[in-house]
Amino acid sequence: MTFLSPYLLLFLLVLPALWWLVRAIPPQPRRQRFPSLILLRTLSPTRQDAARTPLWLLILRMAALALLILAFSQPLYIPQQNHQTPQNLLLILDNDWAATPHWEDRKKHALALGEATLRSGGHVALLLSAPEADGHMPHLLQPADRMALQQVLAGLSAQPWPSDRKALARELQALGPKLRDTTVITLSDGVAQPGDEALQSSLQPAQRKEDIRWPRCDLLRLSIQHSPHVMVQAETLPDCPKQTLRLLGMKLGTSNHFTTQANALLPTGAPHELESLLPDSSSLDALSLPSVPGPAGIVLLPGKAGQRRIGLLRTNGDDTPLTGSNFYLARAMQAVIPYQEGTADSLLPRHPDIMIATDGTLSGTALDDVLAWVRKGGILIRFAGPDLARQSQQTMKNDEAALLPVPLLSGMRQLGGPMSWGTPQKLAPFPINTPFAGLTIPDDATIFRQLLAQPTDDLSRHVWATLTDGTPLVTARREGRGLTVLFHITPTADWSSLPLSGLFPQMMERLITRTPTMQQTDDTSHTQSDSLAPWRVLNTDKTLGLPAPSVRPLLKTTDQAVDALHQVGFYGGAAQHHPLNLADNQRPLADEMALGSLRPAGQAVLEHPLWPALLLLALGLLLLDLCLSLGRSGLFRLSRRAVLGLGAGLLAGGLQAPSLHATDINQAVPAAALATRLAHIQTGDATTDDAVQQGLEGLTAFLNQRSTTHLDHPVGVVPGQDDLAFYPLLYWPIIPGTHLDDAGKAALKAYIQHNGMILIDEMGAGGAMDGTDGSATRTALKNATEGLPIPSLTTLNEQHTLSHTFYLLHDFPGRIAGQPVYVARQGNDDSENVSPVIIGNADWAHAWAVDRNGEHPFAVIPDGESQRTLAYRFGFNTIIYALTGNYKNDQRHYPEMLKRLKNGPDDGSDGPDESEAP
Amino acid sequence: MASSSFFQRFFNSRSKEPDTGPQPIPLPELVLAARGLARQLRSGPHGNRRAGDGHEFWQFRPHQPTEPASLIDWKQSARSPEPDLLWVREREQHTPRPLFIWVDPSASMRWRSTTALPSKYGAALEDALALGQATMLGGEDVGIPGSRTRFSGHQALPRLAHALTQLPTQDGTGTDAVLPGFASIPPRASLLLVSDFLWPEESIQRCLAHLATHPGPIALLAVLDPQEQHLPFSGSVQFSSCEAEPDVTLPAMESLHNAYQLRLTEHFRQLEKVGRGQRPFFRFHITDQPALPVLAGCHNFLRERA
Repeated sequence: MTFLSPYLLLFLLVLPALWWLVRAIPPQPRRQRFPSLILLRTLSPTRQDAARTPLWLLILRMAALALLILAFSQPLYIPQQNHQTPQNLLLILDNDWAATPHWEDRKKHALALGEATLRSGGHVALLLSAPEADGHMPHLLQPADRMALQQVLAGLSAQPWPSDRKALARELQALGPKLRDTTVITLSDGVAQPGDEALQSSLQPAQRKEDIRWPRCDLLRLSIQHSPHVMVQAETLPDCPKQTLRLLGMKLGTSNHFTTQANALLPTGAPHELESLLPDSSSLDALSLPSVPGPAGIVLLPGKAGQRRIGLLRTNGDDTPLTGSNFYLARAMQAVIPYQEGTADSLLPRHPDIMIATDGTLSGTALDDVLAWVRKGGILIRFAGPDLARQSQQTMKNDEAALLPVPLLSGMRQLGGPMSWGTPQKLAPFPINTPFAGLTIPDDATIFRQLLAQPTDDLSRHVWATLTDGTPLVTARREGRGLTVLFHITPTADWSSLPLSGLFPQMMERLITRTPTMQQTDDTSHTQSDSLAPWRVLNTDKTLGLPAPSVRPLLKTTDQAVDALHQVGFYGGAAQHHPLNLADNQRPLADEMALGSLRPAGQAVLEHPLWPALLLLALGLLLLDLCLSLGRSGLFRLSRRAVLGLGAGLLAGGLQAPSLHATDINQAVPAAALATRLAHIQTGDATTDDAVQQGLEGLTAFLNQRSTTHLDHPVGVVPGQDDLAFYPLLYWPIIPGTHLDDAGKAALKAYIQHNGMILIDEMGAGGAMDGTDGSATRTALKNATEGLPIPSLTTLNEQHTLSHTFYLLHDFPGRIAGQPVYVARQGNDDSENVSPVIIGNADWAHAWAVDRNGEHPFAVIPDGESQRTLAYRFGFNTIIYALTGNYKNDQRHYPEMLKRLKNGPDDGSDGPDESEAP
Repeated sequence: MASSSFFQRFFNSRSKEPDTGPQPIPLPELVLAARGLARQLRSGPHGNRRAGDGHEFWQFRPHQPTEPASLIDWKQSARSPEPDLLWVREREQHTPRPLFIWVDPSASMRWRSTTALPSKYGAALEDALALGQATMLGGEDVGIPGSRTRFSGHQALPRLAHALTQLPTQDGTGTDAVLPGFASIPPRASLLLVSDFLWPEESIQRCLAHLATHPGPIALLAVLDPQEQHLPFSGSVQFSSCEAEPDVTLPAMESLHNAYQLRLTEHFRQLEKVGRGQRPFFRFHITDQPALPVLAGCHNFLRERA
C-alpha cells in the first residue's frame, strides 16, 4: 500500500492535541423540564466533578478524524509485482477474432501493466494488431494517465477478422530507434498468421520483450468444406485435448436473426460429415457453436434450394392429368421446391438457376437461348421422350448435341413387353460421387423403355445413375460453365414407373440442391457477375447486420480470405447467398512463435484506491458522533427506534442505485399518428403508385417550404387494412383497374362520414397524354365510388372557397389543363360544410412529382413550368382547405376586399396592386 | 457538541417534551373512567349512629299508644315477654355529610414524564371524580370549596367534572400557589384534597393550619409522577420548572438520589400528622400505578368516619 500524498499524514500528530482539548472542555449539561424544583433546590451537590465527555465518544471522534486524514492522504493498494516496472512500456494487444476468448481478461492485464508504469512516472504506448473496419491500422495510442488508459481500453472490442501482422511490423519499424529502451509486452492470441517473421524481426531492437499467452486450447474455430461432401470441423490448435461441443443448425429469419432448427454434438479435431450430424442440413443457413463467441463459432451456409430459381419449360398439353409431361414433375416438386413455368422467352429473362425441359420443349430459337444460358452457368435437366428418340445423332446439329450430355443411340430400347427379350429393369445403387448418393432404391421402380447412350469410352464419367445392367439412366456433363443433365426416360409413367415412385421427388430434390454446389466449387473462369456485393455481414454477437460502406465486394475468382475489407457474411444478394466464412481459405490453426519471453497470463490484479471507502467510513462516524452528541445534550432525543430507522433508511438509500428507465415509445402507436401526413390510396400498379408517392412528396415539400404545416412523408394506404383516421387528405388515383373491396368501401365511407376529404384524380384519362378516351377510367370511377356517400357535385369555380383558400386561382391544371374539377354543391353561400370530395381529371400527382434528386420527372403540358406552379398552388389550396375547413369561407368576397384595399383609406395610401394573394 | 442558538431554534420548537403547557383535559373520558372506578367502589348510606329515617336498623323501642299501628314490628312483638309490650323498629338517622373535593390546579400538576403516562392533573382529576361519583351513588352530596352548588344523584358527574376544572389557577393576589378556599367548607363535611403538595413552605404551613381546625374527616391524595419519585437522572442536568421558578443545575445527579428520597419523605411526613386528634388519610398515588387500591382505601375511610 502506498500513499499518494504522504505529507498529509503529518496531520495525525494533531490528534493528541485534539484529545486534550476535548477532554479539557466539559460538555453542556442536559436540559430537563421538571414540575417543581422545591425539593431539588434543597439538595446540595456532594460531588462537583467536571462532567466529562465519555471515553467512547472521544475515541469515536478520534477514529473519525484519523480516518479522514488517512483518506485525504490517498492510500492506494498496489498488488505485488514480481517484475520491475518498466519506464517505457509498449503494449501490443492482439484484438482480432482469436482474442475473443478471455477478451476482458486481456484488457485487464493491459490496464494492470500500464497503470504500474504510469504510476511510477513512466510512458505507456498501446498498439493494436487488427485493422479497423476501413482497412487502416489504428494509430499508436499514448494515454497520458491511468484514466485515459482505462477509457481507451474500455472502448476496445475484439474485431471479427484476423490481425495484420505485416502492417504491425511496419508500424514498429516506423518507431525505429525509440524501441531500443522500451519494454515490449505482447498480449498475443497465440495463432500463427502471415507476417509473424516480419513482426519478430521488427521487435528485435527492443530492450526487453515479453509475450503473455492465454490458455491455448480455449481457442476454437468452426470451419466447413464443401467438396467432396459437406464436412464441418471444429478446429483447435494442435495437441489439444478433445472435447465435444454442441452444434446448432440455424435458419435465417426475417429480421436478420438466426433461429435454431436442430442441434447435434460435434467432437473437436477431425472433420465430420454434416449430413450425419444434422440430417436436414440443406435447408439451414448457418451452423453455430454456442459456446464459442464471435465469428469463429459460426459458419454460414450457402443458400437453400428455395432460393434457387427453377424454371419449367412448358408445351401444350403438358398439364393433362396423368399423361401430361409436367404432371408428375409438378407433383414431385411443388410441395417442396417453388418453380416457375413458362416458355424459354419468358423464363430466361428472369435468370433462373435451373431449368427443367421435358421432351419437345427445346426447339428452334428456344434451343439457342437455352444453350447460351447453359454455357453461362445454367443447369439444364432434360427428359427423354419420343422426339429425342426420333432424332439421330448424325442429323443433330452441334447446338442440339451440345445440350445432350452424351451422344445417344437413336431409337428406344424396350425392356419387357411382347416384342422384347428382357424384363423391366430396376435401378442400380447410385454411385458415390453423384448427387444421388445415399438414396435408397425402392423395389417398385422399374424401367421398361429408355434411350441408350452411345458407348464411348468416357461414358462412365458422365453417368449419374444406371440400371442394374449398367446402362445409364441419368447422365450429366459440363457444358461451358453450366451443366446438362439428361434423364433417359420420360417424366411420365409410360416409359417407367420411376415417376410414380417416391424416389423421383428425392432425385429431383437432390439434383436441385446438390448440383449447384458441385458446380460452384469447380468454377474457375469469370462469371458474368464475378463480383458479389456484400449483402449482410456478421456482427460480433452472431447476428447479421447491414454492411458498412467500407466492405468490398467479393470476387468469385480469387480465393478471398476474411479481413477488414471482406468481412464474414453473405455476399451477392438476397437470392444468391454466397457466404464468406472466417475459416475460408485459411491455413489450419497453428501456434504463433514466441515474440519474447513467454509468460502465461496469471491473475491480473489492478491497483485499488482505498480512499473512497475510508472517506465514507470517516463521514459515517462523524455523522454518528453528531447525532449522539446532540442526543446527549438533550436537544433532540432520538429513541432507539428512530435511530435504527434512520440508519436503515440511509443505508437503503445509499445502496440503491438510481435507475433511469428510458421509456420506449409505445410501439402500438402508428407512425401516422405522430405527425400529419398526406396519404394516397394504393392502386396496385407499381408505376402509378410510385408516381403518386413522388407527387405527394413534391407537394409536401412545397407546403413545408411555404407554410407552417409541417407535414411528414406521405404514405400509401389500403382502405380496409390501414387506419384512415390519421390523414387529413386522401389522394385517390383512378386507373382502369381500380377497385375496392367491401372492407375498403366501408373504410372510405366511414372516412367521408367523419369529415375526411378525398381528392379523386382520374389521372388524365381521355386527355392529351392518354391515348384512350377515358371511358375505362370513368367506369372504374363509377364502380369504385359506388356506395360512398358522395353528395351532389358542381363544377369548381372562382366563387368556391377552394379557389381562394390561399392562392387566388382561376383554373386548376395538373399535368394537363382544361379539365373541370368537381366539388360538392353548397346549399347556399353561407353553408358551413366542407366538400368531402374533389374530383378531377388533371393528373396532379404527375405534375407535383419530385424524384430523389429534386427534379421533376414528368413534363407538364401545355404550359410547362408555369402550369406546374399552378398545379402546386392548387395542391396547396386543397391542403389548406382540408386542414382548415371552412375557415377561409370569408375570403369569397375577396374582389370587394381587394378593391377596398386598393382604394384604401382617404389619405390616399395605396393598397397592394397585385391581384394575387399575399 | 456545543448547542448553538441555531440548533436551539431548530430543535426546541419541535421538542417532543410531554409537558406542553396546559393541555385540554378530555372530560368525557375522565368521566367515563371515573364512573368505572366508582362502580367498583362499593358504596352505601352513612349511618349516623342514632335513630332516624335512614335504612339501617337502629333499635327496637316500645310502641307508644299515640303512634300509628303500622309502625309495629309484629315479628319482634311476638317475642316480647308481655303481651302488651309492642315493639317499633327504629332506623338510624341519616344525615347527609357532604364531601368537598379539591384538585390542585397549579402548573406543576400539568406535567408528565412520558406521553405514555397521564399528566398528574389528569390522574388527580380522575381520582377525585371517581371518589365523588362513589359518594354521589351512595346518596350523599358533593361540593367544591368556593362554590355554593352541591352535586348529588346519579347524573351529576359531568357537571361536577366541569366545575372541578373551573377552579381558578390563581388566587386573588395573583400568585400561582393556590390553596382551597377553606372558608366556604362546612365544619362537618368530609374533605378530599388531591394535589402533589409540592408547595413552598409557607403555603404548606397555611394549609396545615386550616386542616388542623377542620373537624371532619380529611383525605389527602398526593399524586406524583414516577420520575419525581425516583429521579432517574445522571450526570450534569439543568432543571427548568413548569412554575415560575429559576433554573437549577445539578452535577452528578446519580449521587443525589438518596438525598432526594430523604427530602421527599421528609416533605410529605409533615402532611401525615394534621387534624384535631385524628390522623388524616394520606396516600401516594403514583401515576404509573393503578389507582384502585388507593381509591378504595380512601373511600372506606370516608365512609367509616361518617
